[in-house]
Amino acid sequence: MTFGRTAWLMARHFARDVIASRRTLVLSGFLLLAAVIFGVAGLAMGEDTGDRLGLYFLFLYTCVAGIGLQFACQAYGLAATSDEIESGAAVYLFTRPLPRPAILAGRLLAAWAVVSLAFVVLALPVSFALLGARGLSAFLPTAAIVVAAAGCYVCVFALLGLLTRHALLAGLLFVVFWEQPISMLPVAVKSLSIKYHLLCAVRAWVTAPFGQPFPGDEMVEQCEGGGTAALVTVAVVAVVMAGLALQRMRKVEILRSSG
Amino acid sequence: MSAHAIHFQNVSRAYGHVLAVNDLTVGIGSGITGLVGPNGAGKTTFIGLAVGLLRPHRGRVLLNGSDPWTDPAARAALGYCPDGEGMWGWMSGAEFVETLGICSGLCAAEARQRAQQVLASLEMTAAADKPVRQYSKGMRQKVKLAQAMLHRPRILVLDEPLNGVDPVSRVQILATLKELASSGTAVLVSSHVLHELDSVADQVVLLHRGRLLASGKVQEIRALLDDHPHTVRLVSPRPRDVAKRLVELPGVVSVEIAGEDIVDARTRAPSALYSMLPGLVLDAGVPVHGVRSLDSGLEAVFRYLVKEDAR
Repeated sequence: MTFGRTAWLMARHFARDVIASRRTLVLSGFLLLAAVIFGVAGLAMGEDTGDRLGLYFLFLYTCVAGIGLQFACQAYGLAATSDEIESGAAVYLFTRPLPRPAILAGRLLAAWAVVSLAFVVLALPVSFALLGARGLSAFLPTAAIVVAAAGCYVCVFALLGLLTRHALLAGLLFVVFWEQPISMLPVAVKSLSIKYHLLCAVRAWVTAPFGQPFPGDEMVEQCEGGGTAALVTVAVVAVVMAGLALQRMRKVEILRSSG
Repeated sequence: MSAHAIHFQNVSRAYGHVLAVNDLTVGIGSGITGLVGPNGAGKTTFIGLAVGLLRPHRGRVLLNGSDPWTDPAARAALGYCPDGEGMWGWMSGAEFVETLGICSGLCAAEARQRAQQVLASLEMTAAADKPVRQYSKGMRQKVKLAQAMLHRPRILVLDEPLNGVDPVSRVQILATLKELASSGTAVLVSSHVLHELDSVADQVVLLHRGRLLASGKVQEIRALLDDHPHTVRLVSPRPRDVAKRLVELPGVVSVEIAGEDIVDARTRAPSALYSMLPGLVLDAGVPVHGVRSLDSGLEAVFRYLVKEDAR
């Protein structure tokens, strides 16, 4: 079967698989909760633009360029790789005349699409609830950042899933001890974090156009090159991670121990 | 290109310092081949290598003439029924089989039609639309078998296909395998229930500690084991008279009265014993009500070979 057909088949199969899974139920609950919290806060808040902008930044910092999206990508990135290898269901695909990289490519695309869609849908009501008429000008760049972030993190976690048997733990450590404490790290180290580049894009495209300082400015004040450069960096990381994952997929063995 | 459906050429595979398969050279052709060995013999590694889930560390594995590890096209001729429980539980049995049919290259309509046929042949029509997660172990086993057979592969590899299957279904599955084998499919079946393989396997591959103990037809292998006397059991109301006569026969090593009317004779020349039995009954007037070989079966052959290997 050709690469393209296999990838398409696998993308559809994976999308159906994850949509029917418990992790999607949990993600939906999380998104709904986030939408309610930020929506209600927006409605309860006064007309002060600075406050509203601060809250919107908090939304971006925690959900879009933060732990919410990172955990979602971890769940779906690992579902695309190690979960099925561990459960044994992958043997049904690996013993078919399908190119293994195409199997992974399709699954990565589907994971990327599902996470992107979920967070873009979340960003829509939150943008308008917090920023009112100016919501659209914040929502569009936010959506672009979500798509880039989801692609990058899904590929990172998919690769982790193929490299280690403890991918869940490794992923949690990566999120909690590498991506989160960005503000405490020196500049040279900060720039090695994906989140740093996402926040650069947030600053350049979402908050700077409002023309007033916002609470997270100091975290990315050394950011140079603007939003496009930041997202290109994120995209390059995503492509490299995806390439490494596709290469690694060729070498994955399924070991069973019954005899 | 190898004439065998599956061909191992000096194949070795290790896990760390443990050699799971050691310099194995064997070919598997059409008909039903039983893959036999105790736990840890290397059966699962053998199957993993054969279907392209594992890479050999040494040697060469050919599936339908190509390397299943590197060449996806080699796997087009393969149907594989794994031993593990991992399945997409949210799918219905019919969807599961159909999806994997499409992955094997069938178009959607054909996969759907064949899935219905195969599931019907395994008497799974009534449960076909239920989610797999609701299935019993036996039903799962049938669905796994159905997905392996759907695209009518030339080579069918089944890892413990009768695990958890009820007796009626076992008979049904074994009959299906015989039918497939008679139509030219090469069927490799791994099972630890040796008597089941005994009844269907045309040939066997015996593994022990990752090495090939023997391969070929069970009777042929048994015939080569000259060092091991065959045990023949005779049933007679006068076991002492039978025993007395038996010890006089050429090739008989020992005779034991194993029960009230049972005599077990161990002989290096079973054919001679069988040919002299009518004389024993007619000339000496000793009644014999039953005769059967206790160890011409797969289990006995395997037991002997393992003992031999341990020496």
